[in-house]
Amino acid sequence: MSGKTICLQNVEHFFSSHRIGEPPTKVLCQTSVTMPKQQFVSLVGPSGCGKTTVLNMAAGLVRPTQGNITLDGKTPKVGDPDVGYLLARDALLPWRTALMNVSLPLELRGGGRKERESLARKILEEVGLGNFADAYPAQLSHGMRQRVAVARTLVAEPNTLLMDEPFSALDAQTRLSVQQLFLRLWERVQSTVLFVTHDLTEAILMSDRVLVFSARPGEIVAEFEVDFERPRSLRELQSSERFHDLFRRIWDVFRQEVEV
Amino acid sequence: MTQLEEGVRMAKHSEIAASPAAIDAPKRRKPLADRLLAVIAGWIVLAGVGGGLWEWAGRSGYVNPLFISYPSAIGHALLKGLYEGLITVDARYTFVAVFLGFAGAAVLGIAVAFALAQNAYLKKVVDPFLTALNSLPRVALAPLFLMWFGIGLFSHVLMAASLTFFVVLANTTAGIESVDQDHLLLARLQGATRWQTFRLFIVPSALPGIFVGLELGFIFGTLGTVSGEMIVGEHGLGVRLSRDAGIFDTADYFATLFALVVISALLTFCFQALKNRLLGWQRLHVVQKSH
Ligand SMILES: Nc1ncnc2c1ncn2[C@@H]1O[C@H](COP(=O)(O)OP(=O)(O)O)[C@@H](O)[C@H]1O
Ligand SMILES: [Mg+2]
Repeated sequence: MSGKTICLQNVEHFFSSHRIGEPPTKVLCQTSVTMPKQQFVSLVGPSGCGKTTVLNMAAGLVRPTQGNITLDGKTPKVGDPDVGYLLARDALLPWRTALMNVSLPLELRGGGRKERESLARKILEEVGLGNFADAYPAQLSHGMRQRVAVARTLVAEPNTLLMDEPFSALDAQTRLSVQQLFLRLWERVQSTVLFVTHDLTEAILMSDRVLVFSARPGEIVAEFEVDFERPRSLRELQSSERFHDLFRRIWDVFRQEVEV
Repeated sequence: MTQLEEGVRMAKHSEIAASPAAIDAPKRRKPLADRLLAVIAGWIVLAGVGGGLWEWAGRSGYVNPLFISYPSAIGHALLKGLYEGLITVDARYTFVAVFLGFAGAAVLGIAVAFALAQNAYLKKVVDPFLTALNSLPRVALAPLFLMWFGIGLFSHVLMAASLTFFVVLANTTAGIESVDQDHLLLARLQGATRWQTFRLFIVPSALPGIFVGLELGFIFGTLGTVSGEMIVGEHGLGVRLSRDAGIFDTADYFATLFALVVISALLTFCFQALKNRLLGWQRLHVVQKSH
């Protein structure tokens, strides 16, 4: 599987104020950056710095006020089957079983029933929920629900993934196991990933490259390559010296932005 | 590291604890509320005590039986009523009117709710008029309907419909508006068409609200028809009620009320059974919250 190249050229963004007469708020300073295909890129930055806005631009949900954003040279459009989107909230449909939730993207695309259910079943097994195919979301724990959401995002094999703090709602132990699970699935296909988080540890553990954003209005203040070999074992990595070195280097920059 | 491993194991454990198998697993004594026989016994005791007190109050003259009658007299009146067409003529007449009015108004109410949800402008324009119409005391319309359409079934059908429509409309609208914004975002991101969004995301979200509307709508429809019949009519439980009250025949009055309640309750019960079949997933929430 390949992946799309995400390219921001002189992108700048303002949100109009809700109060009449007030000037629009600048949320993103002029930003240019290219994320080559198959790269796992994390955006870290303090809350409100415009991370979600950048992600939503890549999804086609938001048009930049200035400049251009492109996926493989084309303007992103909402509902592109090659693009998967994962939120912190699982957004599972409570009236559908895990299996039916996972097969939803295929159903919307009009696949045959047999085929989409067998694909959904396969990916549910891969996220370790083969025995819970017929359970409703209300019967599942947070961690399981988010794994169903991961399966739903991956079932149609998108080559580009946009993820907005996808694991931030999970408790620490569950988060680590879901992160590891996701990484294992991703390392097989190596799609392009744009991963938004405010958790620096997560950014370093998962990605190939970390972009540090300033407080609002956001701009990229630093950029770090993470060249740990793959496949990664997050638990081992987390306790290694190289991880801590890199963490300290990035934290020195990150801290200034968070503490503003 | 070992601490982490421990943590991961614990996390796995806690996930399993919430699994459906685990919820059903402990086969200890069922709580009283889940034992059918216990519940039925409770019903009998409650009805027996209440009925007994009533019988005693009426017969002993403690309360004038002219006003409250007593169960054995009502039972007698009920039997007499069965011979005189209480069910076969009057109840049938009433509930045919309720059903026709309810069915028409329910379909219309649901359709209008979805139409207005699709068009924000139309909704804004129409809303104040609907509110005004809905605040009208419907009983006040009965003489008008009777004047326009005569003392026939149709006037009583309209009485049911005039109440059912607004109840179904309001509850369906509430159901549609309760759709989770994340679900709509998901639909957009996955490229759902308008029709798919409607069918797979909006309708299932609105379904609980629709059912509440239908259930209440039926009760209100019965209210509309019966109150219309009480003003004027040829047949119907409402006609019976106003006649019995006019001649102070309290036992007959209660017998008619009893028939009305039993039939309504039976229909509501069937309806709830249908709802539980269709909305089984909703009850799962309750299960999880209570654990
Ligand atoms: N639709 C909107 N209208 C107005 N302001 C918005 C809108 N969406 C986001 N904002 C504002 O833009 C800023 C950046 O938001 P966001 O991209 O969500 O930040 P982050 O994801 O980094 O926390 C925030 O201050 C937020 O309040
Ligand atoms: Mg955000």
